[in-house]
Amino acid sequence: MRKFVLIFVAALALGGCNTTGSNWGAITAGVAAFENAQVTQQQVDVAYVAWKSGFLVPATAYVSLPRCAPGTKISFRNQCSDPATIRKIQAAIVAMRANFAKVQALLAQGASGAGLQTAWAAVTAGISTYQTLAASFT
Amino acid sequence: MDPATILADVQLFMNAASLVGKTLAEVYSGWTQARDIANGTKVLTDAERAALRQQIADMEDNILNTNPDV
Repeated sequence: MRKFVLIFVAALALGGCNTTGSNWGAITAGVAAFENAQVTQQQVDVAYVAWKSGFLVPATAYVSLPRCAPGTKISFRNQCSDPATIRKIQAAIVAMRANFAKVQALLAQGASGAGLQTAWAAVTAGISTYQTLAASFT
Repeated sequence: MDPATILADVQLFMNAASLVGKTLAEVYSGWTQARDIANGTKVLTDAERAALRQQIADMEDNILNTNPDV
């Protein structure tokens, strides 16, 4: 369920503003629209919300758990967080901070074209990549 | 299974459900917000955008300042 929500939110961020319902057609259309999309503040806002709700919220809950004893992992009876996974979460945050900052700086400068598209692609790729990481601890 | 073990299992379940339930509620809230922004129902003001980024920065800082080994 959470994975679906994350994918949908990420698709909203990727595809822009033509999504009115939570169906796979809208998601597919949203993703397909990415290549020709203009990067707007509206899309970046959606991406920020996707990053917060789809990654940071579950990551915060995960990190707040006590650390797993060596050789153990999270389960129903063993609610714990793995140090190696926390390090991956931290690396993801550092990377996405840089990605978002670049897009936001370019938008603030009124930039468009290849530079902005490249920076935006890094944001959307990051959201897609880190949903896999989020799925591993949710 | 003795009553103490059953009680302990119930407590484990309640703790896990509480954590997951809170997280899911926040994720769903974010999903509705993202949907509304994406379809134009909601346009963030500069103040709302700044507040959102501050929330994100605070959450990121909290995780980055966490010692993974402790």
